[in-house]
Amino acid sequence: MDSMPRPKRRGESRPPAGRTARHKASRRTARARRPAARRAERILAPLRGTLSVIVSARNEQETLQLLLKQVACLHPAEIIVVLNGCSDNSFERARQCKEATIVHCPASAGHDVGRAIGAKLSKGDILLFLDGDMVIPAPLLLPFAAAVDSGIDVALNDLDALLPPFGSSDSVTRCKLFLNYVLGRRDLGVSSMTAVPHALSRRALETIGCRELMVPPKAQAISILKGLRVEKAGSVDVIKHNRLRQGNTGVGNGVEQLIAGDHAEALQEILRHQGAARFSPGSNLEEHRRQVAVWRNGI
Amino acid sequence: MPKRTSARRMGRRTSRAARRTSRRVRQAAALPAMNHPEPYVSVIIPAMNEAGTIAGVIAGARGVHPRCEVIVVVNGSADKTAEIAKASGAHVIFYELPLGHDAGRSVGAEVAKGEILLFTDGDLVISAAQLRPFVKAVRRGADIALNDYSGPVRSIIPHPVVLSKHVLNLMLNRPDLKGCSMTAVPHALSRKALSLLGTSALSRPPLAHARAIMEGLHVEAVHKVPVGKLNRVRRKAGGTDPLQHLIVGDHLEALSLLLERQGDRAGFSDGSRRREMVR
Repeated sequence: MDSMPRPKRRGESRPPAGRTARHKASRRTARARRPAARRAERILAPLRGTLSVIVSARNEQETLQLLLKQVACLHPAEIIVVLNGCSDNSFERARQCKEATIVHCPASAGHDVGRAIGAKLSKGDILLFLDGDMVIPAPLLLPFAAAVDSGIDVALNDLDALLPPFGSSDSVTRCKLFLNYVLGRRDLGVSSMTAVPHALSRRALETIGCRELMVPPKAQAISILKGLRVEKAGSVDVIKHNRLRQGNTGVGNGVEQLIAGDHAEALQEILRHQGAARFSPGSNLEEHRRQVAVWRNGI
Repeated sequence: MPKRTSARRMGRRTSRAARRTSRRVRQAAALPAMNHPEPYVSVIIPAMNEAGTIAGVIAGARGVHPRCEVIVVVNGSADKTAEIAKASGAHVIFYELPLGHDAGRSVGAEVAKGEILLFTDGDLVISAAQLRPFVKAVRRGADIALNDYSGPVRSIIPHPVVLSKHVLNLMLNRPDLKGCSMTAVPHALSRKALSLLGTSALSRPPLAHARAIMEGLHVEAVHKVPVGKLNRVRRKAGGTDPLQHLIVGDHLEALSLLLERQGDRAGFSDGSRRREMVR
């Protein structure tokens, strides 16, 4: 965590390393946690715009309350918790956070639908998207909101430093890399709206449309195609702490298939928008191929 | 040729192949330097100014099967490629002008008479032993036998072409093929695959590859020939290769075809998403 690049903001003191912070957050009693929260409050510079935090969760009673405490440190104008398909005490735990607006959908709404619902209900200038399954310390969340506050439209989580060599990467990583490449944004590496945390500007939400947030890679493609400012903004190791569930582990699992389909939709969006134009030579295909062959053989 | 001793020995020989590119494959002397009148295997070799390697390439090709024809598509060559190929007994198709990248494959396939078509390239000297597995796989029932070579994958962010090949296979729901593709030689096709795809399709290998898989042909990666190491170092314009652009473009067209045929999600499930919940 420590070695990862993290955009520094003026006046921001060094946040605690993610691991220790997470450890504290999950192990300490509520009383002992109070000073930590106050400390975080002190170091977080205020944002100019209003912040809406959208947390989607499904059976996250263990982490939800702790996460909401960290979120509160950011002084958001609103916290929207979208619960779907919960059979545990997530609802009761979320209610412990008095600032939170809770959307409770007893049946499962499906992947990333909660984000779209939350976005639709939100009012803030800055939208920070989180998942309820992971407690992320407030100082690590701030860079995403701060990036949008300073003019970025889509602020993504930078996971490049955590990637294995391509030969052993998973299909999700490969799809993400390819999407950014085709969009002419190799610099984004594997950064994707599929991963949390990420933040959007109100302008981005209006440009993309709430509905499209259900398919995050498609939303990303639209953002870049429509000229929004999409950048890496912070780095939170969500890979190591991701909850292992049935369905997201193993090769060819359901989530992998779902995300492959999402990237197919994103690629379709790009192809509809520009064809293979950026890569194709236009009308005279054969002549172009001839020229390439000539060039390649140095004659 | 040294006797085979063990798998390890074999391994060492394979890895040393890179340094051997200019040496001829010797066993050619034992085989007739002419094409069989009723060939079972047709070996198609596009060549453009490959006078230095073509004899070695033909010699390797000659040894894949007793009933074999070698077709060399010489195009845009200012050197003695055609003469050398003729002297080696190959059927030479000559074009003064360059045919275009991969277009030689279509031209060669057009005249091929064999039941199995083996594609390789004029600048890659590959021994018969390294080519035979492709022929064998098609004889056993594969329609397309690919080189089990995915390109360099050690870096975190790979070459765009390597990335494109992997993602195309993923989208075709064939992640097992990794980065193996008809773009790379050597590979072999059954006569059935050829008549289904048509000879002209072979000029744009990623499209042919995608169609082959979508149409249910039996496509498999059968044997690894690390062609990346054998390939001649080509010049690059300002660090990028225009060929890279062309190949990625072909992959995008292949993806476009896939999405057209199998829907916006390429046939992948939407999980339990209830899209109607948000307007």
